[in-house]
Amino acid sequence: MSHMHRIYWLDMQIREGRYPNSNLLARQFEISRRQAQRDIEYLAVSLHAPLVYVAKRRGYCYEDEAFVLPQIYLTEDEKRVLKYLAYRYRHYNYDHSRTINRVARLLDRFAAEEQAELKDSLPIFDASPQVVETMELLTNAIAHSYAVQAAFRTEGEIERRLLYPLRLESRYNADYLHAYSPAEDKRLTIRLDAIRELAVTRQRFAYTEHSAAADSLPENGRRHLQPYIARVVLPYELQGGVWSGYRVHSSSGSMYEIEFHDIESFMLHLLSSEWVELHSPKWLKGRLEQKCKELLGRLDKREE
Amino acid sequence: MPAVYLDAITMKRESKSYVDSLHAVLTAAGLFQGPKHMLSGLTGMAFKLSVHKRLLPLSVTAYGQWGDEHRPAVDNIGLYTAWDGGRSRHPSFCYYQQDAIKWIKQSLDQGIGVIYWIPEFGVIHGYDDEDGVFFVQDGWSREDIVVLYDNLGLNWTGFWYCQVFGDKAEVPQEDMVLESVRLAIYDWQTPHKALPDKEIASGKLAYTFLTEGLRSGQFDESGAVYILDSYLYARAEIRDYLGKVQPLWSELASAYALYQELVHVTSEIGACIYTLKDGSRRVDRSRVDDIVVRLRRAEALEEEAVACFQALSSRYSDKKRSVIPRWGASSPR
Repeated sequence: MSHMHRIYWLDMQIREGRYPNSNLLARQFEISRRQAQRDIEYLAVSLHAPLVYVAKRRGYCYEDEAFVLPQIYLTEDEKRVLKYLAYRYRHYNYDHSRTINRVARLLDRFAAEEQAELKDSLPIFDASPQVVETMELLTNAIAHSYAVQAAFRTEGEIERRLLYPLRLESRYNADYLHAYSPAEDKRLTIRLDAIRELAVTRQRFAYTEHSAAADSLPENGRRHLQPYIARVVLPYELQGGVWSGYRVHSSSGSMYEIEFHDIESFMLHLLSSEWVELHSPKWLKGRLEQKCKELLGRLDKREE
Repeated sequence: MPAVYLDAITMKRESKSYVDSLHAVLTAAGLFQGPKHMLSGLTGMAFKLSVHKRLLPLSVTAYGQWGDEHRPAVDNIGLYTAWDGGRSRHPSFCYYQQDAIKWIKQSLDQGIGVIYWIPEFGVIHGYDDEDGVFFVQDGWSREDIVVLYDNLGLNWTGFWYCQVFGDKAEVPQEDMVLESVRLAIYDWQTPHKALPDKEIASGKLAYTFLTEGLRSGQFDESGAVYILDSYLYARAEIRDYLGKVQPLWSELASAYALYQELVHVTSEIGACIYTLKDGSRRVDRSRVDDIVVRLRRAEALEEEAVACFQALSSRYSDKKRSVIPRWGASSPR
């Protein structure tokens, strides 16, 4: 999207009736004329702009003034809304949860360059301002591994604990905190609206949820589908913990453990991406081999 | 690392998914010889009809508590069986899951497939310890569904179910047939088998739910087609089954004649379903009245057939239903 600022400039020039052309665009942004021409083609072909070249003015105009550029950029507020929706969808665990979790990952990609943090003016879904504030404090504490001092109601009593907040979860239309209590050496699940007081300390903790398996066994027994894991050697180093949208489970040198849920989509990804070796799983290698054989079989038939 | 892949098992979706799975597992293991309609009839599965008020697709498999339905079905053909299942949200599920992984693998090691709720029912016919996966056939796709050990039993319905089979005892055919019609009578006379849910009806009442659902127009499109398909297939199975066993008793011959007529009456229902461009199928709403008339006639015929079964049943003592076992009507678990 780095050339989008040129597209916006071009659009503005056209709307102002300046009839821009590739020379003008190249001069303005100090790019080659060929590059400028490609930008114009992108505007016409990919963005479906009704561009018309007016020979008399040696430049372009819109045939249909009603055309508007698609809204590609998100404002900060819009990003925050998306972050919140992504959070909600990520924790959705009812019908079609796989599809909806996938939407969450998609929203995440739009919304957050780094970790999703919830702050400032959040849209509120059946949540009291206190719960939202608690959630913001906890999100921050989780992100920076800060312990919290919490007073929360349990069986009619108020209890006070030092907690290591691990993650937030939404279920049955209520938000919960999964935390570790070092004093009792056990994990707790606390409803956010049961938390009466919360203070983030400056004490850092190193406790983590050890593995995805442990993570999938919360106290209430509700379990989530685990992803398949493919061990792939890549010819380049991955940045940001994802491989074209597929989460990296762990890595060792150039060997990456990639998580995936949808077999067909991941196979298509393997067929169209660069990788050196697929170590495991065996069944995926077999399936990929089968697919390639079928393709080669079809190609051979054509050549005959 | 141990791995097993039972190539001999081929499940094909035709009947109820449980019957398709059972047939695939038993025939591959040499525990049953014969066509699918015989298995469907002898186990009493063909007689099971359940319909949700809104004709939801789940109707077809919501014919009762599976343990209580499948156990007598498999018992009737003299097979050893063990199953486990429940809700995957229960806190102890993870322990049952780990245990199930063990006995599923044991069964596969012995060359016998395992019935598994995907959903719907399918067959586990292989495993690979290195990848930690089971290979499952759903009867539709030629490719296996790959289920991680960690994901065994996890699906969007929240239920899990696995069933294994063992050795077979010889049961006289007369006994099996007599018990199968008794199962049919029980199914016909029990209005709700998925209690406390009364939105799903069974047996005779299922006909009412089906016709009223269609008449109301407020029904699930794909569910209605699935229920009708399954209904028509099962009636043909019953007819074919009774055709084979009718020489045993005259009551069965009468019931066979009734089911022949029933299949004839309902055969036109298939023509009231049309196919859209995308391949999905829909009930032709302009022909709902015709379908309902045919179903009413079918209900009356089936009622008569059940009366024949009752006449047959009353001629012989029925210890299973006259003596209440110490553990009650349900299995001890």
